[in-house]
Amino acid sequence: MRANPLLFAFVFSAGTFALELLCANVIVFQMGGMILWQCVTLGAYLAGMGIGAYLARDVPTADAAPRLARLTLRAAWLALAIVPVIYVAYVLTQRAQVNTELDAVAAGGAIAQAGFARGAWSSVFVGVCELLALAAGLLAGFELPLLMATSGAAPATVLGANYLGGLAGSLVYTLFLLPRWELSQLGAMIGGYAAVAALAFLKLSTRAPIPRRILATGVAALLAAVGLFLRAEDLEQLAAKVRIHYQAELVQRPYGLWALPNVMSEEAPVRRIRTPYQHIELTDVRFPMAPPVLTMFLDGYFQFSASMERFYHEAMAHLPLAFARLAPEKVLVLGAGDGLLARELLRRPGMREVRMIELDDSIVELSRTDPEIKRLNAGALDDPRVKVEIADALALMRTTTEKFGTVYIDFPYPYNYDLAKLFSVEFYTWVRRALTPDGVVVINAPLFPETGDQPLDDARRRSNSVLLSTLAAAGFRSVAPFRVLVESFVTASPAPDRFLRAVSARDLPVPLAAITPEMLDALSTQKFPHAVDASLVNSVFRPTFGWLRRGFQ
Amino acid sequence: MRKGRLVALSVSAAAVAFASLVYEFLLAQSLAAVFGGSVLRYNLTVGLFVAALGLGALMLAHSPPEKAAGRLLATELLLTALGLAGPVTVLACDWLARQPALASMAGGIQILAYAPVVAVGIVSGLELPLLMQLGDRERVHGGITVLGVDYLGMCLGTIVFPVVVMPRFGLFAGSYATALLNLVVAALLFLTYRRELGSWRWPTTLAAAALLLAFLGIYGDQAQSFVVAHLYVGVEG
Repeated sequence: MRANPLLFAFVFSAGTFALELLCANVIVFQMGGMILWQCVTLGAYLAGMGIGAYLARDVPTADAAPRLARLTLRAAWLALAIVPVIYVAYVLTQRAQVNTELDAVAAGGAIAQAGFARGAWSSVFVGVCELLALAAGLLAGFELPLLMATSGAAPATVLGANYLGGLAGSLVYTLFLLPRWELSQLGAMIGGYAAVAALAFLKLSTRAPIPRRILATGVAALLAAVGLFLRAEDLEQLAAKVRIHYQAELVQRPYGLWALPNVMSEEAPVRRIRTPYQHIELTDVRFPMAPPVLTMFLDGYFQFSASMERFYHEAMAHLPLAFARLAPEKVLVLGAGDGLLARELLRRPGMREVRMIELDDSIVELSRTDPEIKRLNAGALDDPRVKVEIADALALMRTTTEKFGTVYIDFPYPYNYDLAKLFSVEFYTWVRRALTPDGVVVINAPLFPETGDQPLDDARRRSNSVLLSTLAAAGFRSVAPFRVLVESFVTASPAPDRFLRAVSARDLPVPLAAITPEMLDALSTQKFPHAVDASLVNSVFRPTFGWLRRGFQ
Repeated sequence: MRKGRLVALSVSAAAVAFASLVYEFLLAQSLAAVFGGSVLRYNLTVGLFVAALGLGALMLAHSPPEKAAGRLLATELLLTALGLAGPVTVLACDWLARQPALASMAGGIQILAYAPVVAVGIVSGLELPLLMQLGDRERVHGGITVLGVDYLGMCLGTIVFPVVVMPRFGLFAGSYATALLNLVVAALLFLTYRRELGSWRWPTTLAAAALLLAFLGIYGDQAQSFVVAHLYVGVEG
């Protein structure tokens, strides 16, 4: 049997293309889901291909088959290395960043300098990641002329097989592999695949036995792939711990890099649940000067912690209804699958129905069964007054013909485009249409009040302006933003002058444990500097949230 | 004169590669806007784009070089139209898929929403061999120069799209601006090869396309509001 060169053009390019996608997906995962990195990584890969094709012009075509095999083995090693290298680069740049910040603070430097250091080190991190994508592109660029040399077929036909392989690689990777496996397992699979393809190609295309060095490298790559695949859980567990604990740990006590696995083994394990919609991470976090508390992260972003959640949910559930002088018997809740908001709403006298719309059934299941979360939400999800529906809130609000008097919207902040759609003028328009004429919606959103004499910085002012401009464009005529400690919300209604800002404990139907009378007094004087500006409106078609900016601190 | 032509060709190659990539990203973004799941949509779009590019290049494997200028001009005009229509087509597919009468075909219509990705990819794939043929006519290795510049234009697109096109322009104004760039390239190509392209059809078509774009430039906001209201948000009732 002879190696079919067209078949291998197809097989090789499926592998290299999956490699590019893996590269993009790992960077997007580490950088918080931004499309920017998906685009830039493709750019680095294409640049690599261009340079590779250019350099390969003068490559001699003698011994093309062993050269191609060696090249593909390099791609195999690259695939195996990508995830671990990016994780290590993350640790190193985090470390450098913390040290630079500590030095800047110790030298009496301004916060701005520390911010600059943070930006500089995350650029280094991205640079390393993009170099890996460039390397993948270089290998792909070199492959093509060699494939053309080994086959007797017309160059155009080889090209065609190569392109179709790319398509097959992207389909299989995106539709079947990415949803099921960890990123490091994907690296192991692509690496193992490339190693097998390289050896099979060489065996079939030359009569001679495979040169010993190539065979050794290939077998080593295959063994490394199996090893990485089997140890993937440990690697991902360590990476999750590093993402969650590393910065705080470093500030408290500096230690050598090699001590990292040991130090991290002292931390509570991270329970990781991959769902079709998000990565749920649940662990005990030791905040400074406090005992460890249960904390949940979604896609790496803080969701709630057991010690702080009461402020949040008491403020969100009760204060807006006091602003609106409302005592609803039925409410609609979008998101909030952890059941903590439902717990607060059920405390209100006269509450007959809490209808919850949650996209991800895994989070509902977890919040129903996990003893610690169940203790926090007081079993709210099993209360007969709570009706949980697993559905896409966006699709529901788009199509519903029902009218609601009180709607709570509790989604993660718009860190990326998919979340920013839930803060868009289009979504808010559907919400407004589903409200009764004097109905009220309560939204958890990034908003920043002026504090003391210091003017609000531009990023925070912009965040206020984006949200309030978007609500205005969606037809909300009264809005009441408010903030309690680090949590901020906005209450909005299509009716004009719907809200009073002065709230005292007498206006609340139940006593609050976390919200003090002083916090209530502060509400009436809070100011959220902003400008209502059509160019800032966050739209599905022109996102102004969650695009180039990551944080909302 | 010869040098001037190669420069014009290189600028065109960079601009059209840039435009093709931006069209594809705009389509990926449109698909993410209507169906959700950005990572999935971007991965699929990039895969389909590369395969369609290859298919387009294969279709022109045996095209005679003396016809290259005319074919390239036609390609650019076609791409201007496809790029402009892309996001609206995706929205229209989403609208169709949500119609109760077509519920049984909703899955098929969602797949149909990827047709613009393939169409833009194939037509973009036609560009490069034509540009390279024209480059080789000007100078030895002229084709390779054009190829390098083409990659450069694409790389530029991968940065300009997320940093400038989406935040400053958005989907609709972004596809409009890119189509405008494409039409300017078409006009540049026509001026460069006007002796070969003697027919009165070319200037007429270019003028018609320019008129259409000018019209869209004036009434763009209204057109966009109309499209978004009717195909995506739904009209208040």
